Formats: sequence, C-alpha cells, structure tokens
Amino acid sequence: MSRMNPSRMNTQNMSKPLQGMHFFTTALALLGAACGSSPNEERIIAVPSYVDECDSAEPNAPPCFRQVSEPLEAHCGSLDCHGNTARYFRLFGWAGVRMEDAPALPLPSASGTGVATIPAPPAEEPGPVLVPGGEQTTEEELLANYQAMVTLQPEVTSLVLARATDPGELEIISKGRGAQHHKGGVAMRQGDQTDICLTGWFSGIAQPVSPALTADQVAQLQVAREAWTTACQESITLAIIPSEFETEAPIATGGAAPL
Amino acid sequence: MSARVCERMVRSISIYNLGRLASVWLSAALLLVACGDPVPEEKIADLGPEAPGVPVSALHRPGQPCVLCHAGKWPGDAEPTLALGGTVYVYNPNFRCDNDETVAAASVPAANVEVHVQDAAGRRITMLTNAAGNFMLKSSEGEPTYPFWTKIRYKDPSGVMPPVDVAMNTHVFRDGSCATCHQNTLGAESAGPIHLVKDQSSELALTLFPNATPPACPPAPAQ
Repeated sequence: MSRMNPSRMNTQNMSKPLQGMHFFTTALALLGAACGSSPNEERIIAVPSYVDECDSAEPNAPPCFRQVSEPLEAHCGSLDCHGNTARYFRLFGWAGVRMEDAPALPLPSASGTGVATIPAPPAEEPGPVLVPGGEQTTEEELLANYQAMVTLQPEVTSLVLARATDPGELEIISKGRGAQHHKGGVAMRQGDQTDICLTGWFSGIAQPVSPALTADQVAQLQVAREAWTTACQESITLAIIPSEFETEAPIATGGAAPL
Repeated sequence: MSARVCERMVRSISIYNLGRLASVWLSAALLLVACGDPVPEEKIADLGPEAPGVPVSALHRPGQPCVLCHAGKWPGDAEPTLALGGTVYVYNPNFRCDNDETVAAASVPAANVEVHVQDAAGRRITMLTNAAGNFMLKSSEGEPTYPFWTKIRYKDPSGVMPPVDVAMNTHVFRDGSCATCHQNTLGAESAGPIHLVKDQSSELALTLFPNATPPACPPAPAQ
C-alpha cells in the first residue's frame, strides 16, 4: 500500500469511511464557525419609539403605538393565532388573549434607544376580568405588544429604523407577507394597508421630529404620517366583519345538513 | 476460513456500514415516534370519557373542540374528518345552579340555529345546529379558506320574533374547533360559550326556546 500524502488527499481516493469522516469534520467546522460570534464593538440597539399619547394637541406630535397595534391585533392577534401566550410572538388585546395582571414593565427611554426600568406600579384592587372580544386593548397590553414587536429581532429592527436595511428583512414582515413559511398563511401583501402600517412604523414614522429638520421636511413628514394613519385605519376596517355579511341573509348555502 | 474471507467480513462491518445500519434504525425509530403527536393526544385525554347515556354521534361532546379528534391527520383519528365544528347555546340566568355559577352551567343547547360562514375566498357556508347545539362541516364537503367570518342566526319558527343575528367580532384564522377559543368558562383566554342569547334577561331566551329545560346541576359538594 502506497503512503498517502495528506495534502494531496481528495475524495476520489478516500475510502468510504474516510469520506464520511471528512464530511463529519467539515460539518463540525461549519457548525463551529456558525456558532462563533463576530466582534461587534458598538452594540447600540435603537427601536421605534413607544408613544402612548394618541390625542396630543401638539402639531408635530408623533403617532401613538395604538395606531399600529390595533391593525396588528385585528389581523394577527386572534386567540387561535398570535393572540395566545403559547405563541413565540404573542399579542394581547381585544381580539385575543387578555392580560390578567399588569406586570412591572420596562419602558423605553425618551430617545427610543435602549430601555429604562421603572419601578413596579403600586398594588391595586383587581379590576374586572378582561375577556377576548370585549374591552378595548389596555395601555398595559399595548406596552406588552410593543415589547413583543421590538424584541423579536432587535438588531434587524435597529437597522430598519436606521434605514440601513429593508423592513422586509424583519420576520414579522416577511412571515406576514408569506415570504417565509407562516402557518397562518399570507396575512398581508406587500404594499397593502396593513403592510404600509407595519413597515412605516418600523421605518420610523412614529419617531420624534428632529429639530434639525427644515420646515419643508417637517411638512413632508406630516403628509407621510397622514397617509400612514389612513393606511392603519383602513387596515382595521379590512379585518372587521363585512357589513353585507353581518346583516344580510346568505346568498348561497352549502355545507352540513341538519343532523 | 481463509484470511481473505476473514478480511472481507471485517471490512463489511466497517464504520461506514455500521453508520448506514445505524441510520436505517434511527429512521425507523423516528418514524415510529412520528406516528403520534403528544400535544393533541394530551388535550384529548383531558377531555375525559363520553357523557353517560350519550352515544358517539353528532350529539356527543357538546362544547368540546371537535377537530381535535376529528382531525384526519393520524391513523385512528375519529370519523368523519371535520373542517370545523362547535356548539351554540342560549344563556338563561334562571337556569343557574346554586353550586355552579359559571356561564356554562346556565347555558342550554340551542337547536336549529343557522351558523353562517363567509371565507376568504368569498364562499358562504351554512350549517344548522342539532338537538345538542352542535354544528359541523365535514372536510368532504369542502374546507373553508382561512381566515373566515362567522355569524349565527335564529329564525323564530312561529314568526313572531324577528330573526336574531349574532356576529363574531374577529376572524377565525386557523382553528376549526370553535371550542378552542369558546371554552365553557369566560376568562382572559376564552371568549366563553357561543351564545345566541346572552343578555341578563331571560325573557328572550324563554320566548325563543320555551321548551328548553335547565341543565342538570352538579351535585353539591359533601359537607
């Protein structure tokens, strides 16, 4: 048997066990490489701002989070989908699971960068039990939804907010569009009202107006915000029961016979 | 035995062949494991046995998640395979038991209620509740395209009362078992039973269902 020079080895002259070993070691090496973290000296996570005030009289006030949460709840947050605490991405709200106790929640800082921890709220008498399909989504539920959204992919969220990458890179968008496997199927299409509402929010439509903006830029931003607000409102309308179905008799019948 | 034959035997039990053998056994084992899904199996076990005196039929297990067993996914799933199913009740506070103040305890099955579905493809489906309040759509009759809207409608046979319509606020996105979300209790994760009449007054319930009898109250706990 001739001696084999390791530097000249190739898969053709390997025995089958050696081929297997070669494959195994390559796989291990790839796995090791995949698990290794790349150095990242500046890990600053910026997330879209949480704005709880919806009725601000201030002219340049940014849109509130309820404007984006409610369409999301209507399209994705029913009890049999993401309105369920068993889901990796869960949404509280009127369409799905309700928050029984409002826990102490960290709030984003004023800049929308990072998080600041606030002390637990004082213990209060338990309020009435919220039920699915009942009361409007509460502030605590909205905040929990916000946290669920921005912590799904913090790095990508940060890049989207900085306009360094497309919102379609976010799983919440790509799954909703059906571009990635999504058990719930296609919940929105690129460019439709729900898509505009969600991508706009991740892209910073609700960020505070920078003092560096010129008057023209502020005016443009206001126009964009108005269009975005309309899209969000229409998105909710699309999710509610069609009035003709709610009030009229069915035009055709089928399905199960009386038993 | 010659040395050559011996060498062949040793070669045949090489790492490569052992690997192949192991992979075959592993595949077979995984296949066996994959023959059941423990999550629905546990949920089915939690449903408990059949109610005494109720045969396995379209009348059985009202208020339970139908498609859990009638899924048509695994060998042994209950027949027929159902696309969707549920139970409609009428709430009558007069039926409330002293020792069970839950909504479900004061709910009686609502028969002959139309259940209307409009699916994402625009298809409309109508089902009718039976004596147990159960309604169902067999998969063989067509699967609705999710998401879909639903409403229930009751037409007073005497024609005295106008039809009663109750529409569901949200879509149904993916679960054909109404009872998954409409459990017997009302709470943070349950919208409660599907009620045709649920106002606090029993007047309407009595008018629409004069022959409805109160459900049997659970026995009082031993003192």
